[in-house]
Amino acid sequence: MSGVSFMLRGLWFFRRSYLGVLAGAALGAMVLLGALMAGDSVKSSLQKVAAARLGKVNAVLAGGDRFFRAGLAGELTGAATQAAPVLWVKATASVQGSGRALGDVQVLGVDERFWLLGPGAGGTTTPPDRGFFVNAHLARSLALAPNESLVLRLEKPATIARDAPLAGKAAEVIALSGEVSEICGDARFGRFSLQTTQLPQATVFVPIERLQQALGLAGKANLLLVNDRKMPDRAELSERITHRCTLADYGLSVEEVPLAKAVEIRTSRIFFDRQVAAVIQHRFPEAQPVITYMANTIATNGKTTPYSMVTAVEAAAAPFLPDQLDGVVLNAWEADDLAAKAGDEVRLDYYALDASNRLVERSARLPVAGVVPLTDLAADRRWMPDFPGVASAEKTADWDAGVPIDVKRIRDKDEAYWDAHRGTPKLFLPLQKGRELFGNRWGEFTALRVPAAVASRDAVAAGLLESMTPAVAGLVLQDTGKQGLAAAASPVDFAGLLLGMSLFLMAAAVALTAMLFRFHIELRNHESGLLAALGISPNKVMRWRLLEGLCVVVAGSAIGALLAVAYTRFLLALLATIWSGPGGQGLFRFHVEAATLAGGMAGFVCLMMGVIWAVTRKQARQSASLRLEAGTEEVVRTGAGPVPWWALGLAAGGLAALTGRGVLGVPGAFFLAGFMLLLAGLAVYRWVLRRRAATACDGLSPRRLADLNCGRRPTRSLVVVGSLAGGVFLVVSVAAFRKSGGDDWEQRGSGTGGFAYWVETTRAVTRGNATQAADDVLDLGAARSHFGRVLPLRIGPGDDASCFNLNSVTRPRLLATDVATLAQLGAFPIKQVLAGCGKDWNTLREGPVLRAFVDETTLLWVLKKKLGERLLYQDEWGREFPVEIAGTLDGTVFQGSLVVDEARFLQHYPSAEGPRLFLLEGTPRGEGAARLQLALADQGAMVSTTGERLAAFHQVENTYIAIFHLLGGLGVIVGSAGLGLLTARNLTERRDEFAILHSLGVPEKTTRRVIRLEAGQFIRWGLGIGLLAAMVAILPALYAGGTAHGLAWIGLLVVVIAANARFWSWLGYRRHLRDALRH
Amino acid sequence: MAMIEVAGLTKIHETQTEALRVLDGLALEVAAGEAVAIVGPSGSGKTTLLNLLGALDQPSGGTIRIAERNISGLTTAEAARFRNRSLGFIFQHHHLLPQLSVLENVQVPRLAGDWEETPAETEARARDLLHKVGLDHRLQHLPWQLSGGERLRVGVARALLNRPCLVLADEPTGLLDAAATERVAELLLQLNREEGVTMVVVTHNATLARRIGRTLELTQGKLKEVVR
Ligand SMILES: Nc1ncnc2c1ncn2[C@@H]1O[C@H](COP(=O)(O)OP(=O)(O)O)[C@@H](O)[C@H]1O
Ligand SMILES: [Mg+2]
Repeated sequence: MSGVSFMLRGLWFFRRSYLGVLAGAALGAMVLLGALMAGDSVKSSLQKVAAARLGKVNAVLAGGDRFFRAGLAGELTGAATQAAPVLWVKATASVQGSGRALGDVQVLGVDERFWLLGPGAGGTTTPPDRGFFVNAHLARSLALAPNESLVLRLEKPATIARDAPLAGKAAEVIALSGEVSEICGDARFGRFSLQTTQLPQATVFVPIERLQQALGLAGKANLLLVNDRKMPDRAELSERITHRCTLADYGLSVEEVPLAKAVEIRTSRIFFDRQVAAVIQHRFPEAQPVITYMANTIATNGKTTPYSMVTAVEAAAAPFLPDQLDGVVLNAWEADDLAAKAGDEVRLDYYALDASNRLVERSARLPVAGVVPLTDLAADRRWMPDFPGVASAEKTADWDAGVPIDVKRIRDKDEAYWDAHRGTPKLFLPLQKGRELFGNRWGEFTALRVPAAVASRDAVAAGLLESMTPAVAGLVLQDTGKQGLAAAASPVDFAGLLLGMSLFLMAAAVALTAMLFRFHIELRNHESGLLAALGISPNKVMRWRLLEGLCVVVAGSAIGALLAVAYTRFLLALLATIWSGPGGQGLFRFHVEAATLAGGMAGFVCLMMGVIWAVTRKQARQSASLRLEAGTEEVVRTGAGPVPWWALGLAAGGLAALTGRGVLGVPGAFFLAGFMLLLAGLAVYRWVLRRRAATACDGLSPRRLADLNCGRRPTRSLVVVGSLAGGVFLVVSVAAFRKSGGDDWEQRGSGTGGFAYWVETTRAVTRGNATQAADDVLDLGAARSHFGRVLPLRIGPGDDASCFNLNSVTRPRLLATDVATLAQLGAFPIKQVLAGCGKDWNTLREGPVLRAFVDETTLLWVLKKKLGERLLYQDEWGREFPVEIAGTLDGTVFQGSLVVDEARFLQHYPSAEGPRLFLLEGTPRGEGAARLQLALADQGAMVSTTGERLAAFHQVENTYIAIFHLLGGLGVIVGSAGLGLLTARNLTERRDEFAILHSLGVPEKTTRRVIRLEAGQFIRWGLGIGLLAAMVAILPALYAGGTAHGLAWIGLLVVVIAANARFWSWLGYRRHLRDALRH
Repeated sequence: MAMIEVAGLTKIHETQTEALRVLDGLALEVAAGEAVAIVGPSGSGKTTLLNLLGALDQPSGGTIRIAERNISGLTTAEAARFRNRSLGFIFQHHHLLPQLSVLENVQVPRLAGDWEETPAETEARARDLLHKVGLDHRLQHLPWQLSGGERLRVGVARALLNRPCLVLADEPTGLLDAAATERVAELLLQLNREEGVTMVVVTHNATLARRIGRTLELTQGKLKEVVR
């Protein structure tokens, strides 16, 4: 018989005794591996989504509202590069002949090249000319039946941001309809989206030509998807794009102006971006800027001229002007109209945007320096840029300039002037003055003129092309390959999170398993003694024991791994309830890496064996003796001091933790304090156990007997009391963190800011044709009276970083609003601000860099940043600029976004579209939402109440807490099962003791009482210590309110835990008492 | 040749509160092949003495020589090896391993490793010993299927597996009735004769002591010859 077969015989013979160890190991392994597997699954699922989202696309040239030639794609395509042009717009979609509609749909104008970049080898068929393809998410969201037709409502893009003055007519919405002929799954690139999120985006695919035609953008695209196999260097690609771009792609044109003897550079955006102007002026220092703008009124001598073009220019570009122009020069027509002469003062009224982005009329008074005849260059129509809605108008009265025009003021002579001279300026002023008056965030200059003497038209065009880059023109090349992978590779660390939450359950399982193993070793003490006496070294015996243990633990882990598969599926289903989004079932697919599984198992086995070794080491090392009973007793040092120093130290440490509120936050500090108190409590219990054994007894009573019995094996007692107390502590203290929000929505200082509705529209809402107050941006029509104040917010770049997004987001979406309004209202709870900043919204308007407030949860858990840290964003031209986290908000509807001041925001994104997000005051009940939905149907509005939004956020946290409770609760059950096992064990072990009591005539009732007292003592200490510690931990939560709710919940938990502990000890007691008392 | 030579043996049991001098300058000499019975009141230190002779415990003072080898200074490992090679133990409680059959229980000392005989030889020896103790028809039985006397005989066979020069028995018949005691006494003496093994038997049983012959009484920490 060899050592191995001896061991195997032991394993088989003691299989029943090992069953508990096996079960404990299986449970522990299940929890550990489950957490790891869930982590793996989430990770791989997100990677899959990222792959499905981006397909083979690893670089993107994104134009946004800047359109370039679709032909660029073909020019870039080569051996190592595939490119596809896409025309990308937002729309609302509705099913024809039904009420089903959906906002925020992305419409992609594509050709067959798009499908080639998809993730799978899906087909390359493109929707038929008059038809659509849609993705699965849209089909689901709209409950689309086969062959139903869709109507898309989309806005014709403007050449310039809609809220720029003179941006042209109000948004023109067009409708496109077609039959849906295919529903694209993931393999068919149905998931395509540039948003970093796991949630699918509703998408309609349209043939690119049809979309171009409908939008009046023939041959244009605003998105270039590239698969560049020359990874990882993007510089080369960027260079090639630059090389291929034409002036048209940059929205620039070059033309000769013979009258001026110059070559004029114009931009399709009317105003030159400051960036572009700088590049041109650098390349052609002789270039002369021109600003032509509309004056609402030119007035002097009590006479007025309505709606005239005025031009600011240097004498170098307009030789008919005096060299040092001081004041204005009128043309003859205007001088005649106003009966003005040199020396008079004219009043110039014009539109401008104020700090809150409202259109206001401003005036300037300027002296008349002279009059020029309406001939030659002064009569050139080319001074005026192609103002949309103006340049092509037949009559002045037809102007659709995007600003309010009072048609009644227009006289016949004005129409006559328009007929004869179109937009020829009636007034010239110095360039510098023009910049001061008319400059806006989109730029200043409407043209740049290079003297023909310096360069020919072709030379200017060539020079311009050479100096421009796509980035300067606002075409930003993004490395989506890297971004996508980075985002998917580091999501919320679910493995870590779940492990953290399972920690207690695992500890309980491990402690219990170790205790059971130790019972087993004790059971075989005689065997160990005998083997030692026979000269088999204790080390060898211990090795055998540990090897046996290893076999059981490995078997247990294997069973645990199998169970973990089911457990993981359960966890994933639970997680999917939050993160899949509507219709996103099956987001999380079970997946496990072999390395994770092997590592997790190995880790668990090592942990388990370490603990087993620690608890059995003493027993196995017992000295050999002919008295083989020796060693079954735990060696207890009874020299307990008069005071439990340890415990006092821990308690003091706990109190000290409270002073760390600044670093840990109030709940954190209290939680730590509670935890220290828990340890202190256990130290006190240990001290009490020792002390009891040490103090001489005065009179033996059942209570004394019970006390002594508990102290006889203090480690066992401590394990049971510790796991009970730990369980109670965790379950109760975490319960206090449950959130129920949105009840106090009316309060300005609450997370809703006192607003009732959160409305997001598909299309940006721009100021209409009137100088409206910010409040009235949103055209609610008849429903207006039902709602109070409206707070518009612009949605800037960045991704949603709320807890609904599982991808790691480095640049949360920017929300820009007029913070002065918020400051004035005192809306939203500001939790903390950076030193040196005021605790007030107005602080966002100050500082050298753009400042932002962010929800604390987002800052801590998603961004993992601290107050004062800076995030880098790319401005409109792809240049990085910092955004400083200047303060945190406490549980607001703004979770997942950075809130910044609108005016400061617009400095970085002058062409940003108008507000798409609105907070409305009102009553968040009844028909409010329906009314809003109806009133804003054209805008494709999605209406939710702020309360719902907060509740949804809390839902996420509450799900975490639910998982935590589930695991903590399991831990408590395991802990109390331990109590049951211990009771059973004590009873069988003490059969002799009971027999003696019996033979001495002690009534059985007394014996039972002793046993009950023992179990009761464990429960009392366990619950007492746990509760006390938990109460400290939840003090702030109780204080903050919701006390009744919290206390009721906690009371219920305690009752359940106590009952559970009683049940298990009763079970152990019932099963074994009869045996034990059998004499 | 003297198998056991003990001189000035002292053993003090230290407890937290007091020190208990159990053996006090004890002397003992046993010749090779001799059988000795040790008697004495309960608590006089008989088990303590056997523990010391069996190198299971360290003396507080004095020397112990077994087969001309001083065993009082052995390390734990050396002592274990010494026990495994040269000594046999017979316990009051039979202490058979419940998971092993009778035949296997006898072979347990082999688990110490580096055994000189082959497994087959060991098993043959175990069968032979079990035959000698009259249990050759119960080889595959488990301990709980045996009576107390039978279990003790398995223990005796186990003690002899390693051909010990010295067998130490601590109250082997303490739990047996008269008939069983008689059989065991017979067996021990037979083995003493046939195998030539030296035996020290601690017993309360007068019959057993008488049959063994030389009897020593342990009182006040010293041994005294009982002259009959
Ligand atoms: N490990 C020990 N610690 C303290 N006292 C012990 C220990 N082992 C034995 N004793 C004491 O030594 C004395 C002798 O014990 P023992 O040798 O077992 O006596 P016997 O076997 O003769 O009945 C007894 O009084 C016993 O209480
Ligand atoms: Mg004894």
